[in-house]
Amino acid sequence: MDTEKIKAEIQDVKKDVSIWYRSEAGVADLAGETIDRHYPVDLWEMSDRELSAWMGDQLSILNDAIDPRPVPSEITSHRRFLGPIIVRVKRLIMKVLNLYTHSILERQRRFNTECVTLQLASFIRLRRLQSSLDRITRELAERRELESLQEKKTDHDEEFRP
Amino acid sequence: MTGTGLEKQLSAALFSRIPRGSELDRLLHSLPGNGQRDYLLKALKNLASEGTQGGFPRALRAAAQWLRSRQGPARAMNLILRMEVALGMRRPTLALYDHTLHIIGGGQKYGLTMLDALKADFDITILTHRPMEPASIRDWYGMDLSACRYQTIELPEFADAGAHIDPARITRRMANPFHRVSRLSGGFDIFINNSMNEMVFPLAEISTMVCHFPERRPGAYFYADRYDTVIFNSLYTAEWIEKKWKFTPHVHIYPPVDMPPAEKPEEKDPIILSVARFEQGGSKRQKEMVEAFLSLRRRFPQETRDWRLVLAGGSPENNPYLEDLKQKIRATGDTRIRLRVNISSEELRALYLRASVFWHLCGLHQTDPALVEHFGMTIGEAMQNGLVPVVFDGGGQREIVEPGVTGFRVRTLEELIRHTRRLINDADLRQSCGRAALEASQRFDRPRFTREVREFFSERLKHYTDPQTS
Repeated sequence: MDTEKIKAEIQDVKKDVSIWYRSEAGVADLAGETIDRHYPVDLWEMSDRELSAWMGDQLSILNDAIDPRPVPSEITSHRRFLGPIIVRVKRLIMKVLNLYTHSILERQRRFNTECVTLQLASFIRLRRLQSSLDRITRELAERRELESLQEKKTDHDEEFRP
Repeated sequence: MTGTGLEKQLSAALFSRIPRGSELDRLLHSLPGNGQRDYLLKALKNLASEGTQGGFPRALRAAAQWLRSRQGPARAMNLILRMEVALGMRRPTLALYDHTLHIIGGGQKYGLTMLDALKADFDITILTHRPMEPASIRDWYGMDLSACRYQTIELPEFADAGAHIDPARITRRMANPFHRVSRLSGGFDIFINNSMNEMVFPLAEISTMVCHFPERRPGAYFYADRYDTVIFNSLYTAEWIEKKWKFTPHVHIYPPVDMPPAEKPEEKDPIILSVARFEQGGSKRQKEMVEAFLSLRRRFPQETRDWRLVLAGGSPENNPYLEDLKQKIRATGDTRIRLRVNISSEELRALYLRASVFWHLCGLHQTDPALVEHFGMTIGEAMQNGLVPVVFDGGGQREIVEPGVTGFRVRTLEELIRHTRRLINDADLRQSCGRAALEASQRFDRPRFTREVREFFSERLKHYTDPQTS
């Protein structure tokens, strides 16, 4: 086997393969398969800490979605020539409809804000209750054990009383 | 053409003047993806060894093309890298990724000790998100990894995060910033993910995830099950991988416990020692230890008059938990409780050598399995120095301490006080448990770790360069 020759040939092919590798934009393309999957959330399996973190995330998602009013900048079009016209027309329609929908959506926004605030308050209250409960449970366990040790000691003393 | 039946047919198909993908499809269709790659490698190796007059590059290109179209460009790259190593053209490369390497910790030490065991056989690259110096590794862990390459992968998404890079901040609504690491992983023969970060998709032919504990449940960008091998550090971790990630991890390697005493630990002082980080959330339970020690002193003043409690461990600056603890100790006015924060490894060794009893309560009053000790390296270190461990009965600690033989396991502070009092009053028990602990600690020592790691990777490398395709 002519090692040097083989080595040069491998390097030659490697150059091409490196180009293929670099030219792929995503990791899924490089892997040649779908890599992301959906995992259902099982809330019952979660520990208190996990649930707490999950509730925090959900609250932040709700908070981001409080305002239901459409945003004009969200209207876009991929068409090269007709796109700008379509976007203008749609934005105009949105403005006109806004005269009718504004008061309804504004009420909805206020309602959403109140709901999220209420959820947040419940979340904070729950956390405080949980921490009090943890402390009380701990103290109770220690006290019970101490009492049982004291009982044992009393029995022991009585047994050996002259 | 040499080789077995299928190898010969593959070699012939690749060697033909115009290699056809459909012919490779026909020959390889019944094999799984990795089996297909193994056969292609064998066929190409045969062709290379026969010196087939210009036919080899054509065959290699055809195989790479076929893999690119059927399994993606990363697999084509893997084949070329594999050929280079299989034909002895260079040393195999290995990359270790850890997103928390800039912070001192047991998990980080695990990964770096792996590299220390493998550095003679591999060209190693350490992938991090914060700049790392070999000098820091030498100071923190006493290892010389100066021959390794260090590559920092910038993460603008975490520029404001200081030292803490938390993958949990990444949701499905965001692009995955850790794919920068995924992309790089395909350029190495072996990729080891030593992070508790399942958001890196492995693209190397040999990929290993070291799981110290499954922190998060499968969710956005979860790829832990895409690694060839998942190594776990304790049976406790394995149990939770099965519960949370719904698969069985593959290889069990206990962490390296590396604190053998310089001299034989014979004469011990009346010291109760705890070695644990001063976690801001208090999960290592140093405050509870102070309570237990004070209670012990109050209730049995005569028996405990010579005894001291030393709490040693690392802490970041401005740690509110540590400040609270200091205040609490000051308020008691008890001079027999000492705090030793961020001490050097020599000072720690000296403490281990002198102390008699070791306390570790991580997991006490805890309902979250992630906050219970996953293994407990410092317990192993204490045992190596003949201390008698009295530890919380949960997590990985159950695998280390055998109650009544090498130490004691407790579920409450009262049990801790009871067992410690017994040890204080019974020097023979202290001595016999200490001896048994020292002997049992060999299960976790560093030579054993080095041996297991080297065996594991040499086996993988053997298959990488010379797969058994029968």
